[in-house]
Amino acid sequence: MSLGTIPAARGRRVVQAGSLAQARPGIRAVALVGPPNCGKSTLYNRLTGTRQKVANYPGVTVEYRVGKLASDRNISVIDLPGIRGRQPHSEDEEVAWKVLQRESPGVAPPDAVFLILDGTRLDSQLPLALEVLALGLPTLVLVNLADALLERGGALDVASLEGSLGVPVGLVSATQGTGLECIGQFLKVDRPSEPPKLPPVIQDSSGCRTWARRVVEDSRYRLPKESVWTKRLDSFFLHPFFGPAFLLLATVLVFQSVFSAGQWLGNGIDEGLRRADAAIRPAIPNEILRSLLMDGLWKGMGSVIVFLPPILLLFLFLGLMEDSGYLGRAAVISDRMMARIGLNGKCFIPLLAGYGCAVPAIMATRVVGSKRDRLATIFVIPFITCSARLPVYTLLIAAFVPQGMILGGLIGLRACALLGLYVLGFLAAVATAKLLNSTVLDNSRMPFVLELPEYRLPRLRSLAIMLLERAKIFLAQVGTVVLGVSFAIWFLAHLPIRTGQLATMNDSLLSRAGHWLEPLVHPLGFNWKIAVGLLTSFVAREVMVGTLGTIYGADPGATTQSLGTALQRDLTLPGAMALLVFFALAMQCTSTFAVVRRETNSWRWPVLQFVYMGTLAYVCAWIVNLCFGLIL
Amino acid sequence: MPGQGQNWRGESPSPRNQGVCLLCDLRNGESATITEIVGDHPQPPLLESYGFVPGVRVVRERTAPQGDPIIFRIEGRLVALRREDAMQISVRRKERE
Repeated sequence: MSLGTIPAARGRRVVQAGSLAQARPGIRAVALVGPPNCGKSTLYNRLTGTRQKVANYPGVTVEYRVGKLASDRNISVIDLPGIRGRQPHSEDEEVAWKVLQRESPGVAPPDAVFLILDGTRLDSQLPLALEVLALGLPTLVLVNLADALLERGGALDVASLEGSLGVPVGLVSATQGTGLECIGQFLKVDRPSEPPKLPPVIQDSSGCRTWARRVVEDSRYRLPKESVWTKRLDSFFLHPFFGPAFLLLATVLVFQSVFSAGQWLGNGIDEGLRRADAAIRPAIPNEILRSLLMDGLWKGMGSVIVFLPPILLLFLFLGLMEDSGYLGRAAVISDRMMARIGLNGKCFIPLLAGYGCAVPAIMATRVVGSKRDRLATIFVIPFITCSARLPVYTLLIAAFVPQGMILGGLIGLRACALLGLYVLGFLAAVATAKLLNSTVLDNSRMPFVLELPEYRLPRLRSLAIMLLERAKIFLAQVGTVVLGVSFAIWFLAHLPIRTGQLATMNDSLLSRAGHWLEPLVHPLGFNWKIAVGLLTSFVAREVMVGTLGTIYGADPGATTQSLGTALQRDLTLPGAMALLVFFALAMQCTSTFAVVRRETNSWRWPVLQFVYMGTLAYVCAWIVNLCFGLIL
Repeated sequence: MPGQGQNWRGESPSPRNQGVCLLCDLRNGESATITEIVGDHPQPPLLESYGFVPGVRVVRERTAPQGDPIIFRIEGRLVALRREDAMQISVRRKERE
């Protein structure tokens, strides 16, 4: 699982054929397997030609991916989650073994296996190789990270290793693309029909290790020296003082730049949209059509699109942390805190992913291992401030919080308000986790074991592709859900048509529906327009902004104003605070609901979550409106 | 009164037990060999899959900023382990040459 990719964007891919290597007719599907952090995803991207996230963290590839081999489109490649040994310790390892045993329905059973091993620590990975070879499938062993192995003074005799394992072996570097010829050869060569000579299958682990030691000696394998860079960087990033200080500073900087740079870029888009609006408007002859297209759809979609830059910035920072290997260090620094709220540091990764989007974050909980911690994490993830809340937050903060610097110019008042909302979401998650631990969930302890990958330079290309993917997902949402809702809202705002005239805002169906809802949200300080926006936000949070854009687009008094200014007329400061708090706490996302239903395989959890978060949001928003109303 | 080189029971330390301590008692930079997984650890196979099995060499690399978890280098990789988990692995310190 990667932080930046959601499963919908990751289905089957057909990739254009490169040089064609005629394969043996028997092989139609190849499975890529290997331990975590062996460079499997990089290799997958190279083989299929599609580039996705580079797995640099244990369990990044939670779901397997299927693509077509670039050199032969008849062969599909299945990218499986990382495995450590025959005994699966998490649900994604279970998935991997099921596919390998050809027992997984819905996945093409693999006819051959590419076993990828990390060349910089081959010795410890041979027991796993033995277990994979015991499956009896035609196997090609790819010893990856050849560049790091040779650079740091390691050595390996490939021919001897082939002799010991009884299968072909290739020394490759997935990042540099060297040594990959062996794959074409493996697929081309007509192998005898009898199974290859397998190494002895040893049941007990000590026998396995003895065998591995012998193989290592026979193949004249020399371990490379430890990476100097990892040691140097760790002595800073895990320094008793500088480590946490850097984590804190980085967090503050991320929010500050998401707010200021993101908004600055967003304003540019806004300006462009407004100019286009002025240019297109006179070209539409019919008045009703003009109103529908420009005031309804253009305003509705435009008001959401301007939030693309801050969202992409946020994903860029998350991607940088993930690809560089820093994410694991952040998990180690925060483990103490996570332990205090009854979770382990491994839950930190899904929680952090929640800052991007709750859907992949909930799927990432599969790496947590313990069922109990996993349920608790799934339950609290929607409290984490996801990127869909950003449009609403930035809109309201820019409209209601004055500009200005605090803390001696270190951080702006608005960025501080934004950070405050992030903290609020985090505190709600913490409190809920504590509550769950002391009530619903049993208290069996699971060990915390976390592998820290070596630091790697993030690859610009893979980051760019991840951002492109995120942008596509966001724009697809704008083009479908936001478009549809804007369309519906425009009609409701202009119906019924009497004597050929569109209804005015005040006697439209929308206004009637809004007024009917108003008593429900009045205690929170919202009027009927906000009520309508709130109703549509339960589809997805950012839809609210599009709805408001359409409502104010239809309002003759507000068409010339920006959305923020229009809101200032309609919402009091306490009401705006209440609205922000409501958005921080409520579960307004149908995708999240669906993914929780799927991952927990029950209706009970998502329903419980929805009711719990909704009630909490309503009560807290009500208290905020009441208290601020008394003070201000 | 136990003599020199004897423990409180008066026994001479057997060479088998010399230098044996818990994994969490190692100092940063010190290396040792795992002797056994002690206590009723809930998930020995999980530790095993990361290489924590008898006979394997382990180096205590560094400590996390708040003193826990502890980071070890084992079989070429860096693995973070909470102190409470490291307390259930006994090791023999590498003899000083």
